[in-house]
Amino acid sequence: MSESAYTVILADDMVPYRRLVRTVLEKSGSFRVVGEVGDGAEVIELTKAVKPDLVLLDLGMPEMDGLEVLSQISAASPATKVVILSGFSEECMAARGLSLGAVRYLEKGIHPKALVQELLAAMR
Amino acid sequence: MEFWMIGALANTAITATYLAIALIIFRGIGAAGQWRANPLALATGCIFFTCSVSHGLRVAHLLLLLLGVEAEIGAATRQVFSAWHISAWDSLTAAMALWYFSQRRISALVRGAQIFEDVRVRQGEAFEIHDNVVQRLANAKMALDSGETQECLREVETTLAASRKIISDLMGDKRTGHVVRPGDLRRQSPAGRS
Repeated sequence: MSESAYTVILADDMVPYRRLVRTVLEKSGSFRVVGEVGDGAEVIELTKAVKPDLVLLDLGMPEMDGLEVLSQISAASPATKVVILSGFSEECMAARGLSLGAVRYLEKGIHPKALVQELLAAMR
Repeated sequence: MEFWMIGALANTAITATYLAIALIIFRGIGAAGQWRANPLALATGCIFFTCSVSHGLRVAHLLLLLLGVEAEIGAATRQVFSAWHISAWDSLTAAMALWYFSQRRISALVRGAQIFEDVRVRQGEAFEIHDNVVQRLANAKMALDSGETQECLREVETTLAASRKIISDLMGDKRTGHVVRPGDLRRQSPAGRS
């Protein structure tokens, strides 16, 4: 894995999905997963501590949902970009998520290669 | 026509309209059995009713003066209504009351609580489907795309079981006690065609 790889926090309460995404991102060589969390409150704390390049954020999570934490992630680490990766359809939630500070909205079900491409495009 | 007469007419219209609105709301609450479940509609009905009584008393005082009863209060009321701005404001209030009444959507207030409850239940069901079906299918697809066939199969089986449970719960709805009867499973078109 390249040292210049983008650092990522994965925020998703579904552990098996998180594990698969981690594998996909790390295999790509372009991303280095520096933390995984399962609820909204944790992602804010970890973002403050790690200040990653990217947070890959699910919307439906315990404690605080993804929409609740979006603005707080920006406050915790202004340079961190947030991409939403959610099971909710883009039509249903994208506008809300983007208006709150996310740079991209991706639907779960996206092909691993497309996921990596979309994330790289988001980081440019 | 003097200003107090305009005020009397306006207050008569307000009294009648507010009373009608209050009665419609109370009747709706009673029909829906929501006396306790819909405090917003009940409070709204009470506001219209008490305002109706308040405006009605003003009209009564003006009328009683004509009959020579409670003359002092009646005279004071007439004096108040002789101020043009009070009568003008009451006329505007009467117009607003009639406009509100003409909307004929007062019963929506009564349906409100039930609508919010229905939306809450529907959102809960949507979340259950999202968490147990959509998320798991997304996981299965990611596993398949990543070449993890066993993980994919395991997730598909889990999703299938979760889907069956959700459908069973919805078909024999525990909340309403609905029991599936012959004919309920008749479909509009063959399964698998969307």
